[in-house]
This record gives sequence, C-alpha cells and structure tokens, in this order.
Amino acid sequence: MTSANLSLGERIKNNRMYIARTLWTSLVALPFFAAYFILGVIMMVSRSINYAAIYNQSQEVLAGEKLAAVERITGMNSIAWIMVAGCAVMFALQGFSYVFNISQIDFYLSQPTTRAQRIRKNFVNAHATFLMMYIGCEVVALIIAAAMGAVNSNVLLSAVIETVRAFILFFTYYNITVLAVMLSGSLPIAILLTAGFAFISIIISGEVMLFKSIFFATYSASEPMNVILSPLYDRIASMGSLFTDNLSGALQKSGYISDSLRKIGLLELDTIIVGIIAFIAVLIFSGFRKTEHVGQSIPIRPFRWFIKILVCILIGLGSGYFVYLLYSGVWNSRLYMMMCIVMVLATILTGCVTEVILEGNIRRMFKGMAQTIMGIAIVVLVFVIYRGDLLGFDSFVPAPDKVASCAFKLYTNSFNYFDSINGGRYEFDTSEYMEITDIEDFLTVARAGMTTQREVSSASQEGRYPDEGYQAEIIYRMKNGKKIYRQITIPYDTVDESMDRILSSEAYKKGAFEVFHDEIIREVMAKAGSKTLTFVTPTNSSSTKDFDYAEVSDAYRQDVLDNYSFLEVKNKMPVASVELEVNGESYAYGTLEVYDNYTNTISLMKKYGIYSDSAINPEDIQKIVITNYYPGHDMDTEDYQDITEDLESTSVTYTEKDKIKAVLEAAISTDYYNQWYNYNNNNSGYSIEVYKNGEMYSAAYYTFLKGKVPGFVAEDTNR
Amino acid sequence: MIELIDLEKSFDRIKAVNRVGLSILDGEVFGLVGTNGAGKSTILRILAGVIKPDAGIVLVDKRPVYDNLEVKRDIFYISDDQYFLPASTPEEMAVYYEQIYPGFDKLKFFKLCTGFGLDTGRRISTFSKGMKKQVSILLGICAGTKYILCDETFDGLDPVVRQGVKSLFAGEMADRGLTPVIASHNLRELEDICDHIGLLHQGGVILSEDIEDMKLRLQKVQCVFQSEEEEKIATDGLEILLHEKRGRLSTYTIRGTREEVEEAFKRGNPVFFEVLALSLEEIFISETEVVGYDIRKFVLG
Repeated sequence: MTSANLSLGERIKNNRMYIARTLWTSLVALPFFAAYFILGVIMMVSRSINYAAIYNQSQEVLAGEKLAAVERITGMNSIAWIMVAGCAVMFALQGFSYVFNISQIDFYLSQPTTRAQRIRKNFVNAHATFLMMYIGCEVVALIIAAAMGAVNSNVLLSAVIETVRAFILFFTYYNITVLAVMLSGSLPIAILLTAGFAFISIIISGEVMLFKSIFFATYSASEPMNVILSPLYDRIASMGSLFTDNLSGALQKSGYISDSLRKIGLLELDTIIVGIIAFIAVLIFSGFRKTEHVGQSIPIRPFRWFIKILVCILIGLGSGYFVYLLYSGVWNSRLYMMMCIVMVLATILTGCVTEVILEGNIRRMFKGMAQTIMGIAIVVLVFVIYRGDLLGFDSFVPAPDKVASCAFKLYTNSFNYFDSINGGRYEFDTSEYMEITDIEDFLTVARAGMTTQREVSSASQEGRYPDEGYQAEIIYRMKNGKKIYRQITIPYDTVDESMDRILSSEAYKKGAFEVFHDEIIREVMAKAGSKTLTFVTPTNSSSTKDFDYAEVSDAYRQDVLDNYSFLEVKNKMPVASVELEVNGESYAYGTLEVYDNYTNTISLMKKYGIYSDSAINPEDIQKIVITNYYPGHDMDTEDYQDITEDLESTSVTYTEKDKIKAVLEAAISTDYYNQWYNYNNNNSGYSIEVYKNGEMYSAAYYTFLKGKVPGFVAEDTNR
Repeated sequence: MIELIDLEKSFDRIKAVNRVGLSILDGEVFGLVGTNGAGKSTILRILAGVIKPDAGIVLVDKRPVYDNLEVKRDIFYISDDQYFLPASTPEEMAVYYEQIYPGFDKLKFFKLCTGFGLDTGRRISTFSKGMKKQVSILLGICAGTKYILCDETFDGLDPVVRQGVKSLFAGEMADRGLTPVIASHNLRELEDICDHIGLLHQGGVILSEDIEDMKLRLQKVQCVFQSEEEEKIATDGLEILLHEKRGRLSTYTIRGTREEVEEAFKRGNPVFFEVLALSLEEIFISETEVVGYDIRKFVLG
C-alpha cells in the first residue's frame, strides 16, 4: 500500500506527528498557556472571594472584583501578550531555522514542494497551532470563570477582542522573526535582528527625545515619545492607557468596551501595519534567499551595510547621552566638544565590533570602513543639527492660522478621590480641559517665554539659575491634529497684558481649575453620610459638617470666573483655603485656595459660620521667629548665587506687639501656592514663623516683601 | 532522463560547477566521481532542486527541476549529512515521507528495516552513522521515486550492507526502472555498481562514459620480449598511454580493443604476454594523465 491510499484520518494523524516533531516548542508553550489561563483564572477569582470574605466586602464589590480578576487574565488587560510574542518568535525560529543548516535545507527543499508552499505550510502550522492552543486554554478558563460567576458581557467581549489582538500580535512577531531569519545567515544573527526589529523604533524615538532634552532649552518633558511601527511599544502603551485603578467598577459599566477600543485602536492599527509590512517583506526577501546563504551573517550586502551604519549611528548617539549622564549635575557648554569626540570614537569602535560580529572573524575588525565613515558622518551631522539647533526647535512658534487651540499644562490638583464605582483621581492635568483660542496673545507669551527660557538655560550651563519668570509647559494643538509641547519661562512683567487676557478668559479658568470638573466630587459629597468643610487661614481653622458641597463649588466657580485675573494674583497670595473631606465608603479630599477678593466663597463661609479673618491681630500672636539665612547681605539687591562664603543663619524672636505688627505688615504668606505670583517680589533671605497664643510648635510661615524689611529686623539679624 | 546543459554555479568567487554537460539515461546507475570540491554534491543538490543554478539548464524528463513540485516527486535525494526530524524513529520518518511521496510504500519499508536489522521504533539519533545511512537509503528506495540521488551514500556501510543495498538497487532497477545517481570519490565502490561514470574535476567534466566501454577501449598488457626490436615491432602503431619496465617485464596501458592489441603483440613474438583487467582507478589515472591532470590530486580509495 502506498501513501496515495491514505485516509483523511491518517493524514490528520500524520500531520499532528509532523507538527509535534517540527514545532515541538508548542508542546513547551502549551503548559504555560494552560497554567496562565486556567490556573490564573481559578487562583485570581478564588483570591477575590477570599479577600471579600476577610474584609467583609459587599456582594456588589465582590462581583466586580471577580470580573476584574477574569478580565486581567483573559481580557484586554491581560499580560498574556508577553507569552504570545515569545511564542511567535519561538515558532518562527523553529519553523524557519532550517535555512541555517545545510542538511536541513537539503532535507526540506529536496522534497516535492515549492519554496512558497514550504513557507505557507510553516505559516499555517504555526498560526493554527497557536490559535488552537490559545483559544483552547482561554475557553476552558472562561467556562471555569462562568461557573464561578465571574463573567459578564464586558468580560466575554474583552476576551474575544484580546484573542483577536493576540492573533494580530502573534502574526506581527512571527513575520518580524521570519523576516529576520530571511535576512540573516545564522541563528544568532537572526535572534539579534529580531530583537533589533522589535526595539529599533523605540531606541530611535528614545534617542531623539534624549537629544532634545540635552540640546534644547524649550524641550518639554511632557512631550510624548513618538514611537511608531513598534508592536512592543504599542502593547506597553496599550497597557498604560487601559490601566485603571478601578477595573471592577469599569467592567460593570456599559461603555467599557467602546472606551477601551478607543484608547487602543490606533496602537493596534500600528501593530497591524508592522505585521503587514513584515509579511510583505518576507514574501519579497524569501525570493532573494538562496540556499548558499547558510553561514553568512547577513547575506544581502546592501542590507548588511544598512545594518552596520544604523548600529554605528545608534550607539554613537547613545554614547553622547552616556557622556551627558556621566557629567549630569556638572554639565556645561564646554563639555559638548568632548561629547562629540566620544560619539565619534564610539561610532568607530562600534563599526569595528559590528564588522567582527557580522564576519565572525576578528581579523576583519578594520574592514568595511566605508560604512563606519558613513556612520560617523551621520552622527556628526546629527550632533551639529542639534547643537546648532539648525531645525529651529528653540525658536519655533507656529503660525497663528495653523493653531487650533493652546493650553498651559499645569498641575493645579484640587481634589483626591476614590470610590468603588468611579475609581480614583489623584492628578489633574489642565491641558486635558484647557482650550485657549486667543492664539495671538498666547503666541506673544510663548515667544517671550521661549526667549527667556533660552537665556535661563544658557545661564544654567554657566552655573547660574536666575529667576527670570514663570516656568510653564505649553501645548499648541495644531489644526492638523499634532500636539506641540514646549517648556518656557514667561518673563515677569513684560507680557502682563497678554497674560491677563489669557488668564481672564473662561477657556483658561475652566481648564485650570479642577472645581469646574468636579461632577464626581459632587456625587460623592451628595451621597456621603458624613463630610467636613473647614475654612483655614494661616492662624485659624473652623469646621462644619452641615453644608452643601454644590453650593460651595458654585460659589467658588463664580469667584474664579468673576474675580480671578493675572493682574489680580501676580502680586498677592491666597489668604485662606477651603478644605473638604469625605471618608467613608468613598473617599474625597479637596483644597480650594481663597483670595481676599473671593467674595462669594467668603460670604458662604460666613453663612456656614466658619469664616475667620485672615488678617492677623498682633494681640493673638505669642511670638514671631525671624531667621536670616544671609546675615551681612542685603537680599533685596543681592543674588544668593553671588554669595560664596559659608554663612551661619541668625534667628531673632520678637514678642513685642508693635514689632510683631510691623513685621506682619511687611510680610507675605508662604503657606499657599500661586502659580502666577512673582516670587521676585520676595526677599529670599528671610523666613518668618508666626506662633499664635498657646501654640508652641505649629507656626504659620511668611517672608518679607522686597524693600519692606523693617529696620529693626535688618539690624537685629545682621549683627 | 536527466540532462545537464552548460550548468554553472558559483559560491561567491568560487566556481563550483563550470559549464557541466551530462546526460543520465533512465535505468542506468550513474556515478559522479571526482576530487573533493569537484562539484559532485553541488550537482546533486541542483538535480534535487535544492540549489538554483546560476546558468545552464537541468531537465528531468524534459522538465525543469527547480521549484517544480511534479518533477521533485520523481526524485529522492540522500545527502551526505542526512537529516531526520527531531527525536524521530524510522517509523515516524516513514509516516512523514508517506505524506510527501505519493508512492511511498510503508509496508515495504518496515519489511526492509527488519531485513537490515533496524528497529523501526528506536530513535534515529541513537543509531550509528552507518545505520542512519541505511535508514536513509531504505526511505529513498521505498519512496517509489524514479530517480534516487545518493551523495557519498556508501561511505560508512559495511561490505555486507553495501552488497545488500546494491542488490536492492538492482532489484528496483529491474522492477520499476529506478535510476540511481551516486556521487563518490571512492572509485572502487562505484566500479561494481555503476554503468556510467562522469568524472568531475574543478567543477568541470573530464569525461562521461560507460564503464564497459572504457574497459573495452583500454588494455593493460604485461609482456616479455627477446629483444627491444621485437618489442618495438609489437607496439608500433599502438596508442600507448602508460609504459613501465622492470627488468625485462614491461607493463603497457594501451588504447584499443583486446583483439587489436593481441594482434599487434603477436607480431613481436613475445616470450610472455598477458592482457590484464583494468580497474576503474587505473582507467582514470590513465585518462586524467592524458588530458594533463595531475593524478596526485585525486583521492583514490
């Protein structure tokens, strides 16, 4: 009997044997997938049940936690993608490593099959094996989860979507690895190339970002890394964007799937594009692949040159950053030349080492100098472009007609909260809400801010840190959808009119103040059984539990809209704060700073009976302790950076009411924060501690305004 | 029939096959012999469709071989360094080939394995080098292909097994017209199995001829004459390729038929005269010397 008579069953059995022999890594991977999905679900769900029993969680909370447990194993928050990517690389290397071995090539290619058929067979076997393994384990895990009452439609849909994502990732990594195999002549080089393909765009983006941070004064650390065509970055970024500290609550809401898809859609698209590009490249380069390429590192010469040049450039540039790191803290402009020299030397060394690796022959160290020289040229060119800012990064201000809106990226966090349904919020990024459309004024501010930022940066490289203005991060939202970030220093006093128009606008206020986005706080406060409202001045505080948060919020919003302006706040600090707290099933804490012209808030505090005047009555003060950190120097006129000698601070205590009164009249509170206060108004040499009657340890802190240091203080502290 | 027309293949700057032209007829055993690096394995790999030639044509039954599924179904290639699926047994390899070659006869394979004393359930990786070769050969024979390409296949086989394999080849040739192409540098091994020989050197073909024709056209003669004059009369007009003389005993290698040589020698009235059988090795030494190759470069078994 010959094989022509084989039944379908025998053929399937034979193919299973073939896969077991040629794709044995699947037998290694299967227990890992089974353990991850099946044991993972059992352990995570039972952990939730135990946790709920120990900490008396409600059934509603437990249900959410169980869903979250299953979602983290099978859904979009799963970390199974690490195994998927590893599996794809293993399958591809195993399936195609025959091209690195003459006897295997002879074995496979002499058989009655075409090269295309062989590639297709490997692809189909690998993908089918992976899918069977993944889906099989996942289905069993979901059945177990359902039996444990830990599945709802969101969890199921999330698992289905994750399966599709896993397949996309597998396809992409498989193709990347096969491409690396097709372009290389030995397994170690193929593994290196695979790693290179996986990391290359992250490395390039990282180096671009690091070079911007080194060379450009106006570079903003908020500028996101623009990594494209990197499945690895896509997955890590997806995890970041999907992360929520209240997954259990989110899974019980109807919009979870659509919200998640919106967050990861573009990243998935990027992964798919990489997969398709790699697949097409595999089809092209497999045609170029010759049997005799076995043993050669990278047989296609132009690609080999490209790799060598690229490695030289990346390591050359990376060495520049290494020099910068080495000298961090003592960096100055003279070190740039050394940085350039090190970059060139590192590029040469990399060229030599790369040649040795690619040739597997140490005697080839000084061969292929043309590519090394090309690498050096590009490294030096990049250095010159960045050092000379030839692309005009530090002077770039967009054309007004190309800007859709602008924003300040401030961290004016007013509230912290957490509840089991809505999750938590501990940060408030104003750029998410601010849509300034007064482009002309914003650009005027930005232009001045960039000039000052360059001056400040230049001075800092000479070891001086002048306080020239307000430091701020700004964002231009361009009409083409791009976001441009810059770090600027808005000079004190020079663009006040523009600043006032911007800060007086509703767009700024509604973006900068979290109180305009406090819907959840309102909800939490309305539901809370016990809550506290406290009005705090530097020396007093009074609380009430009988208040309506919505009323407080409305009054504060009105004050911001009516009474907050740049010119109003640039020379003064808040005088008090309103503090809110709920601490029960939900937790919320908030601080709203109050200026003296916030009449609506002040009236409301009076209505609640907790208002106290922020003006300090000297009669209420037990003592004032004044410390002069620079005795012998007039800090009204001198810069602390010009003082080089070691000084011992002097402290003086005043208990006389007339002196206390004189000090308080010349002082300004430092207990509050005001982004737009001109701190150059203050004399940086003094610290004033104000102790109320009966208070021994708790003090309010002030400092003197410039030119207002009382004569007796100057005399007493400069002896 | 396999035809190689002006075949060329280079590896980097090394010309492995240089304008090779050969014809391998169906039903004959073709031996490819030559020095190491002469291009024997490269030609076999081209024939098997593993390597694409740089130039020239390879036709198997008038069809190009490279990437041609149909043609490759007719060819089984046993490389010098055989590969088997990881951790596989002869039985599993038979199952594997069963899917690949429509004519694979698994029962015959098991029967032959038993005959050769090979355990079909034992992992091939535990077999000796010779046993692995036996498995490869048996798989090749049972694949049912028209052509079987053997690269140094007989190296490492003990004489009994070698004889058994030769018998198998002979049987298959008789039963279904199998055409074995055997590459080797061991001339003695090929002598009693090949019908036709192609001699390769430095990528080129020195000669390609039937062994019997070669033997018929070359004669080795040992003789003793009374005088040099008589010897000169006897050898006059003969194409002498080699001549050695020890005392009065002369040994000649002469191109020509046995009858022509005997006729000529009778003219000289020799004291002693005997026509000896020429080995393949001796034929090649003679032929290569004639065309100017240094015989010391050849590796003679």
